[in-house]
Amino acid sequence: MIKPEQLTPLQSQAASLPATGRFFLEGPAGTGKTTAAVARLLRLLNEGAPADSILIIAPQPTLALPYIEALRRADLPPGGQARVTTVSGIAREMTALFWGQIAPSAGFTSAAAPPTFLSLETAQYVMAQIIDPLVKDQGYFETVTLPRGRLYSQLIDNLNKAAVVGFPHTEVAERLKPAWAGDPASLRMYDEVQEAINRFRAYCLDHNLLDFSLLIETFMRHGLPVCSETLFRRASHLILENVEEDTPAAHQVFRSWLARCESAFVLFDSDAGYRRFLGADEDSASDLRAFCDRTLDFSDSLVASPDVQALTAELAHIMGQYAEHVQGDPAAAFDYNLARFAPESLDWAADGAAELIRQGAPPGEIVIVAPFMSDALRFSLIERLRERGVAARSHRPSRALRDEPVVRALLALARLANPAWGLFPDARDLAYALMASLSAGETGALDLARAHLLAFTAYPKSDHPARLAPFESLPPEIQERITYTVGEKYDRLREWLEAHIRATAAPSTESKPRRGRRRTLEAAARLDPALDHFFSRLFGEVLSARGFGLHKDLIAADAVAALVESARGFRATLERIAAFDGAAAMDDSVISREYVRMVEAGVIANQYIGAWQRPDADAVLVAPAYTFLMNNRPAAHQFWLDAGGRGWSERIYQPLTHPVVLSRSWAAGDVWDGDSEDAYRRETLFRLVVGLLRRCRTAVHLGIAELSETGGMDQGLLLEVFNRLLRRLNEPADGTTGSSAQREGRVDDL
Amino acid sequence: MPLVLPDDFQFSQSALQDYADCHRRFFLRWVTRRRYPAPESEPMRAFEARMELGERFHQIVEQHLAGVPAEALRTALGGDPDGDETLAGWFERCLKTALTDLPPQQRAEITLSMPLADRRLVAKFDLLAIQPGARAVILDWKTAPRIPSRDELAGRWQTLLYPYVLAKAGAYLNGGKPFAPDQISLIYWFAEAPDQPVIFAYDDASHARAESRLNDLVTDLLARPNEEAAFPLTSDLTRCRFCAYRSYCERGTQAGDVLGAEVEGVKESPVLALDLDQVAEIAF
Repeated sequence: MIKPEQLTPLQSQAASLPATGRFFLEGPAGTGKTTAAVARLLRLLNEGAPADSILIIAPQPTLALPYIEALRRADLPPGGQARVTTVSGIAREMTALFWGQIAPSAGFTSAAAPPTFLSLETAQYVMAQIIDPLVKDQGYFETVTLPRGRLYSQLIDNLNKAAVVGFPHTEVAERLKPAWAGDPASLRMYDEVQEAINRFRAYCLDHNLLDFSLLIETFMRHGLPVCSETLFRRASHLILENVEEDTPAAHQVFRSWLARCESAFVLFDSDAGYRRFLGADEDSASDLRAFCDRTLDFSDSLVASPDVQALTAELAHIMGQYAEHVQGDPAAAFDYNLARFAPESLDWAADGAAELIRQGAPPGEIVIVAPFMSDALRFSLIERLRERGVAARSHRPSRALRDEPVVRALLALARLANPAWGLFPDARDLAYALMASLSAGETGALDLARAHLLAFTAYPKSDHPARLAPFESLPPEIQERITYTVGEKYDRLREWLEAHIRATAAPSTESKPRRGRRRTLEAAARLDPALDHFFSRLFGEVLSARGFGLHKDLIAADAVAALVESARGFRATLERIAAFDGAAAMDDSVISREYVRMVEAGVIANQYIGAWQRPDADAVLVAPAYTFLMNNRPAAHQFWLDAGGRGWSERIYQPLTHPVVLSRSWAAGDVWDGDSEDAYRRETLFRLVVGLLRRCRTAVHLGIAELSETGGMDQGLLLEVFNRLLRRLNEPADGTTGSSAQREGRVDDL
Repeated sequence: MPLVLPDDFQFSQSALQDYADCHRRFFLRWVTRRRYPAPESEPMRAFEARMELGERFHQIVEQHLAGVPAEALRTALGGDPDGDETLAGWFERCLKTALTDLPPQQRAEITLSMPLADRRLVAKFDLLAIQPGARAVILDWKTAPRIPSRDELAGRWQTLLYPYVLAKAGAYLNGGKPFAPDQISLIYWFAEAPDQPVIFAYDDASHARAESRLNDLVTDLLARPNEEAAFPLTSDLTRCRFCAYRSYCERGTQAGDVLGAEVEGVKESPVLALDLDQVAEIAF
């Protein structure tokens, strides 16, 4: 229970509001709105409101964590369970439940067959099946240069934008074309976009496939009226968290629910809307105020010190935004480090974090952010922190499966074990796979040099289909160098793979199986050559056994589990599509090959949620800036790396879609030109900087490298803004000697 | 160092059953929270298909109880290209044998929770049928091919826990007054043997026994140090054949065969008795 004395008067007032009525809680981040809403939730439960009458909706799960944690408290009374979800979570649940009523009016071919919900990766695969022939045979998208995976994702993004903003997907091209300021000859790409998404949508309707866009459209137009009765039979208290990060479609749902509920708390962060690229709409969220009985203004920061607030006001002013003056010393709230090379910046940040901890700062109160966090950057930072004895945790929204060494090893072995695919691994890949698979302990270690030797000797390129040679057939001097201990494990792995090859190649009508272990392996594989099962067995029967590389390696096990889950989801979707077409069960070999091809192309299995689900709160957080914002947990000290980089304000290259042109705020007929882009960048930077500072208690530490991680010399907008700030601080208006930071010589032009 | 359960840990029948079956399994699954992707049983595809059927059956019953007419569901089952006659058969049997003579207020897939130690204890019910002030029936759908004996079911934590949690946390379903233990019953309904449900009555003595066993187990658990070695392996090696962590524990590498000859000697395979709640939790 949050004790009353822990709440501010305004939070207490909010928590004690009557259990009837709709309340709009508005204010910047860090002013205590969520704490007030959690206090109210606990109050409702402790006063006897049935838990299952409470529905809490957040734009994404991380933003719902304070509620989830509160609902797990042991001091809450016994009873039902409040529901904490997202709008798309409700949409999916209700669409599945009422499919029979919804499907016919929504235009699906068959209400009798159940729906198949596509993940982003399976949606991209389906898009690939539709687009690839157009690209190959009809020259679609010749005018743009994009990796194939990003082509699919931008097409899907257009559908998503149409669904969440609320216009027909058939109008995407006619909205994008007038805004195009580039070469008119390139305009045909939008016609191609339109054709591609029209075909995708038709295919989905024909096969009962619901990607995110079709799920939202179906729910909004057909599901909402059907399910609201069921939903509100019990749910009568709403808490809508961070509505500014949700979409106009979600806001439409909220409007209809606000009219029916007994009570509501609607939480709105001003100057936020970080998920604009996903369709979040601050204006539409702000309109929810009109559906509430009363507004409570939260304006006093409970997080940022006066100095940080003063810094926020100064920076906002420089960026052309209004900010109320706050008494404080902005220069005391930041410092910076200039380095020649990016690695020096990393050393500085790691040293700085270690020093703060030495001075008594809790590690969990320190965060190191960058606009983008590459694997190399993340790894380098965490290693540097570890070298200094500092515990670190990394939050990333997703990690590509193919980036996991153990996953690459399993993919290489899968290619070797399935010669029918015609996707043989090269010896280099195989060397890494052998090293990951066979290396264990000091006596059984296999370093990369010997793994290469083994792979290049035992895996002759000239033989096709390529197979691993038995260890005993290798030259004696090689055997000796590899060691017989490793050779024994190598043979066990090789035999297992050979058994799989024989079994999957054998006709299923094979008569009596042979006896012994070989029989067991081959029988299992012949009956079931599904790739996810192959990975699972390879892991369980060989790689995780004692003496092998993954034995007792629970982190690697987690990555393999993600691979298995992804491959299973892919297979299940393709099997359902095949069944829908009335085709015989799709050949596992075809599905498996497609899966491997798509993973290695980076098209699928790109959404692996890794270690961030198990955060260690008492550790320095290393995260992309937006991920930190969406975690919504403040920190005392923030290190901003690559402060000179352009990533702080620039959006990713998306020639086939547009977050602003496809939003509600875009005026038809306007052109998106250089000025629009510049204004967008400045707006983006303002929101990001202010968002970070509102989650900063004490100080920001800027790391500036002349040469970025990629070796370039960037002069991004963030640097420009801080330079202007420094000039302002060096020109005291009252003719005195300037700020404390100046006096200490910490502030100069960057 | 005393045991540190993850922040989001909640007691459930799956967690308690794991602890009862194998302390090490509990530690790996619920304390380290690491997934372990080895097969639980063979043949994987047959097991997977069975689980999918079970999942769809739960959903169909939920749809029906949410107001979708049986006729519409029958049509859907008949027209599902990916469907199975088995599912249609289960649904018909359920309508005829399980959903008759039940108390009038019926709620599918409902979760109740209550405090336990410094955590919460949760129970997710397939169906709760309630007549306020009179009786409450818990129905649990079992779609596995093998029908466990009454004794086996009586020994499972689910049987102990579900009526206990309903008695402790169900007051809000009963006009604010807790159900008396003797107003509660638990029915296991078997899709493959619909005419042979196993019914457990509940009473004050069962309630006291459940509370005592639960407290004993939690006391025993929380007294352990926060290290793997403090959670010994089960002495029943049969369980290891149906546990994904077998290679981690060096208890073999081959999964047990639930459908073939190997299953004959298995009396209490966790897989055979697996239910969907457990699967959902395993997936963490």
